[in-house]
Amino acid sequence: MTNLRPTRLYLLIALCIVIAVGLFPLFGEKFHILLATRIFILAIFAMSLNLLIGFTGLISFGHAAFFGAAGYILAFVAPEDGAAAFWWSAPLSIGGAALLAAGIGWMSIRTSGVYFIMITLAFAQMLYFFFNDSPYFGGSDGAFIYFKPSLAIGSFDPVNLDNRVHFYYLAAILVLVVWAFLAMLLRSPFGQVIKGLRANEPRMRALGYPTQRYKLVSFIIAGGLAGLAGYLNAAQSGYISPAHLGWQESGSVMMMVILGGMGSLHGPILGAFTFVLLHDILRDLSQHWLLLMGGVIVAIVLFLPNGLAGLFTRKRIPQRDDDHD
Amino acid sequence: MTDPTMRDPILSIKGLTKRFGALAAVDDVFLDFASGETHAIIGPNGAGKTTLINLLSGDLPPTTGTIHLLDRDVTALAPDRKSQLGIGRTYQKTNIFPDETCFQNCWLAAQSRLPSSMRFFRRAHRRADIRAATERALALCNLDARADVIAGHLSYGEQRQLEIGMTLATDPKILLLDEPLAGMSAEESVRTMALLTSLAENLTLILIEHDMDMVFAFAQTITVMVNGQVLETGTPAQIRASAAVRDAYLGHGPTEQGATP
Repeated sequence: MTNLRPTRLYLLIALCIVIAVGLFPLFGEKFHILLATRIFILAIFAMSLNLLIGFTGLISFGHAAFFGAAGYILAFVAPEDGAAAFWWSAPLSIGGAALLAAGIGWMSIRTSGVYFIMITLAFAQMLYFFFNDSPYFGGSDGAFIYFKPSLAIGSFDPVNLDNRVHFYYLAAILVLVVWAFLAMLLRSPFGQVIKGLRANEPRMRALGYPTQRYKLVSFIIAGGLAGLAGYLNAAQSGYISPAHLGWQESGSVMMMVILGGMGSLHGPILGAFTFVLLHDILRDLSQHWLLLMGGVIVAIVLFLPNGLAGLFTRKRIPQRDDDHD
Repeated sequence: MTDPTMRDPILSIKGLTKRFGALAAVDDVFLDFASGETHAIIGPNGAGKTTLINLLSGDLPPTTGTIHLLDRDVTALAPDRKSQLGIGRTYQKTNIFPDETCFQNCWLAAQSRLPSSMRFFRRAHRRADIRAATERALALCNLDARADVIAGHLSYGEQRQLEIGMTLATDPKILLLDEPLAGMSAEESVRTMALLTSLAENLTLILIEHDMDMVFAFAQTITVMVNGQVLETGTPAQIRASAAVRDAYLGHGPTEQGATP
């Protein structure tokens, strides 16, 4: 068999993307920089869901709960008269989302298939109504974050999130960090186990793996990463509302994952990019844009079963990894 | 009646019953499996053989009764706990990871012996001990030359060998085999029999098999099940001599395969 491991061509494409992303703010207009930042944030969100859908085989339809909850945590802890420090507010939001995922996951992983879809959806909707009906959190109007978090360490303050170019670079770097984190995770013993769960859970149990524990840990990691995306989203827009944890948001991120390609590391990034661009282009084209959007998604699902990522990767021949310690 | 050659039972079941609604698939079964023996369970379709294996492996919880592994009550343990205690199984319907290579299939099985796979940072395939266990299992099931082949591309017989190899990679003390020869060509059967014979030296084998020639030649103890109940347990000679077994299962005519000595 021919060796289809990442070739020089792949590296070249990756290098081009890095340069393009790096230079974009020098040429891009304000609107486009904000749009690109939004795509980065949604890419992190979609990658986190892909860990569940694409790699663990857990179809969560309530993933926006962690995205939205992290935003509410930021709104809740941010002072009204100044900036919250990024260094404690981000871990708090991510940790809060992960804790929420531990609770929801602990109950949800006892079910599987359609029941898992329904129970995760139900939990997210419960949270939606909780925030929607709590005047304390702004009710259906949502809550505002008046100042962007500050990354200052003492008097050292190189990154200013009020500057949209700075925010853009932070989001781009975090996409790369999350991507690298997931790449490492999937090659670790833990990653081997969750991929086995997706393929055949009963067999994994028969081989001696306590499968529920691995599913729960995967759910918590995905929740925490969704929390990171939710934190960045709330920080960028300065606003969080119950809609951020509603089922439409969960559906949108699921579509990004499916569009881009489930079970592909970079698929969700492509998916988020395509979804946001389609959204913007089609909306300008016609007031019936949702119909067009639906048509495009149906076409991609029918003709590209591996999503957009399937366009660029031929079926890889799994390689035995022969380097020893 | 106790067999004088009977060693201490490694696995012992008492009053084991599994009901599906009104049907008792396994009905008040008492059996001892001696350490190191090869014990075949035979019986007509629907006798409850696979259900019994599923109860032993933990895939199904029993309705009543107990299962003891040495002195330990393992009745209610889940399959992963049973596997960790040394009860490995193979499935009647080949149950492998078809998109992965043979190496990766066995690797995943061998990795389950790590105290925990909650390891997030190092590359999985760098563990030299797991690699050694994987390669040992591949050699045992005669697939070392096929290590890098995608499991789904193997012949049916090779997939059955891999199925056994994966379970061997978990280093079991007791191996439950559900029809290991089913659907194999004659040549594949011979190869698998050679593998099972070599395994029988070190492991306790409990197997379901329909090939009577194989069962009578290979097993030290045979249990005949009918309608969820144990009809007879004994050496191949005792089973062959049993009038009850002949009536209920092996058929009345001397033409029946395996019934004639």
